[in-house]
Amino acid sequence: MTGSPVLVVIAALAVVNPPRLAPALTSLRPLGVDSTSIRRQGSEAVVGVGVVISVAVLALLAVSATWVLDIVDVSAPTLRVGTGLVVVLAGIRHALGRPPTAEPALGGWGASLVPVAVPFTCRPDLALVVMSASTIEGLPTALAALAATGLAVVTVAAARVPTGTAQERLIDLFAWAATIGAVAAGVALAVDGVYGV
Amino acid sequence: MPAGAVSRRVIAALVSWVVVFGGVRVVIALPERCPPVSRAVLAETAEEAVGWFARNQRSDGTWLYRYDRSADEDLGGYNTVRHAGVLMSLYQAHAAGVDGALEVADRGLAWAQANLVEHGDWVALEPSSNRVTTGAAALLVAGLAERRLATGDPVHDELMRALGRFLLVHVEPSGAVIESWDRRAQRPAVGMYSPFFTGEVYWALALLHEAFPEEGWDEPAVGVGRYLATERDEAEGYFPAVPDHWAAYGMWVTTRWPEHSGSDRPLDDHQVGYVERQAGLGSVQVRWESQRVDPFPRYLLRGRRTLGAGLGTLGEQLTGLWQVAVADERLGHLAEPIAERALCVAGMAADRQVAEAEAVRWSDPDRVRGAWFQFDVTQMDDQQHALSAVLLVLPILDAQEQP
Repeated sequence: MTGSPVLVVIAALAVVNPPRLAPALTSLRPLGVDSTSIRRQGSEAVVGVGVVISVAVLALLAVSATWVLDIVDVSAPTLRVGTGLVVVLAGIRHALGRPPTAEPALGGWGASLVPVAVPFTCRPDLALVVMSASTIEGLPTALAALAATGLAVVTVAAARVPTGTAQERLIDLFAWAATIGAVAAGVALAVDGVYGV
Repeated sequence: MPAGAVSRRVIAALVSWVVVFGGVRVVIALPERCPPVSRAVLAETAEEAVGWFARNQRSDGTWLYRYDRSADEDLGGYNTVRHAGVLMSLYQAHAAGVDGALEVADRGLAWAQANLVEHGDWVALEPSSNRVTTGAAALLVAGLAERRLATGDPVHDELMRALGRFLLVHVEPSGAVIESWDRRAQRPAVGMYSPFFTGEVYWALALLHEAFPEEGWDEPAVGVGRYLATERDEAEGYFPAVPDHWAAYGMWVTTRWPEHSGSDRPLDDHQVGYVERQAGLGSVQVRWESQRVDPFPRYLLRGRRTLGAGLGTLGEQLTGLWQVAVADERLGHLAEPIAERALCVAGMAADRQVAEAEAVRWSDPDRVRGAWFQFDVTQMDDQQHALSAVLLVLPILDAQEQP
């Protein structure tokens, strides 16, 4: 089973769906702290710290994935089937659920923990994607998927797309593309797992 | 923002982790239980299976076909194709050094020789039915070829060739194989195909070429092999594709052909793709089966455990594919995971065989010991396929023990 690095990266991006996070990320403020230093650095710095925290936690899971699977007697293709189905569910949730909001959030730098890391980026579906990728495509692919996803989230936050503009409609379009991508990538992952050796 | 709201958000996120990981664990990623395999365990399993055939062989060379241990009842019936299949497995057991297997198999061969159908220059195997199957003839060829390889005895060479000529009558130009000869109409039953006989015929023709490399058996074998890899499932309407252990046997033999000696690419590109797909089909079934535990509640999620025959055919398929993956460099990346699944099958087979200590609790321990049961019923091909599966995994252990 050689897997598909591109599919893994698409799945990772799609479950987090950075364009769908755009309104929440843009409205983030260093809440509760009247700190000019934070305000100067802007919310993208808070987002960046949150992403780094998430990537660190998820990278640990990716590194330990093979060991974890051995402990729980689960093969890599079986995990891939489960991952695929969870990615499909994430796509359905993106389609039917309410868009994420910035509130409630911790104030100041705390916002990098809640909501940027939890629940936006340090998520169980992304964890499954990178663990599965680590056991099949390899750790570099898993880390690359994490890096791409983190970069996309920070980019969206830094873009600060104003509401009611053509850019916002474009972001909405990307969000829907990611939603559809999650369903498609999830199905592809599940099929890959079923036919994996 | 009130701390309570943030706490609730964090708790909801934690709950989502528990639900996602817990859900995947409970529904999809159940523990895959593969009992440990050792040479000693496999040898004992094979000896016990051969012992079952020895104890349950009738004076005419046939075996107890189907038996219900709870009612202590011989359920009757017989199947010529499976008779030939049992012969083949017993000759495999002899080749692997299981004592007594050759004698038991030769008594079964005597029954087969007494029930040959002769027509023109060919012979086939069928005692009574008007449907003279290619499957029975093909597996008889396979059994005789295994016997020849193990003993070096050429006494049945002419019978092998005559059976091979029967098979050739049923190979169509496309490589498709007509499933039987209509004895009443005295012609092949055109338009009738079997999900299993095509692979069996492929294997038999490949073995004939291996035994008699100057006689031209390779051309029809290659044709049937190509048909299996490229057309069969679509042309004969199988979806999903047939997981074909017989085709795996056949491909394994083609990698041993003299003309492929020294080649690290004995398969054509279509066959490479076919092997990859077949390995996937076999693997998912093994993973599923290894998650099966009969008691509630796992039973609800995975259903009952498969037959001994079902488990055995998985092992036969994967061991054949493993041999192919080792032989062809394009498939080398599959060798290790295929080996893992094949060993898992062998471990499950050994674990599920009825041991002597358990057999004495039943009315007729001789019919129970060494067998595999489902719903208290066993059929002789349960023993056949499981026996082959545990024998064929031995080369994998050999390879793993090499430095």
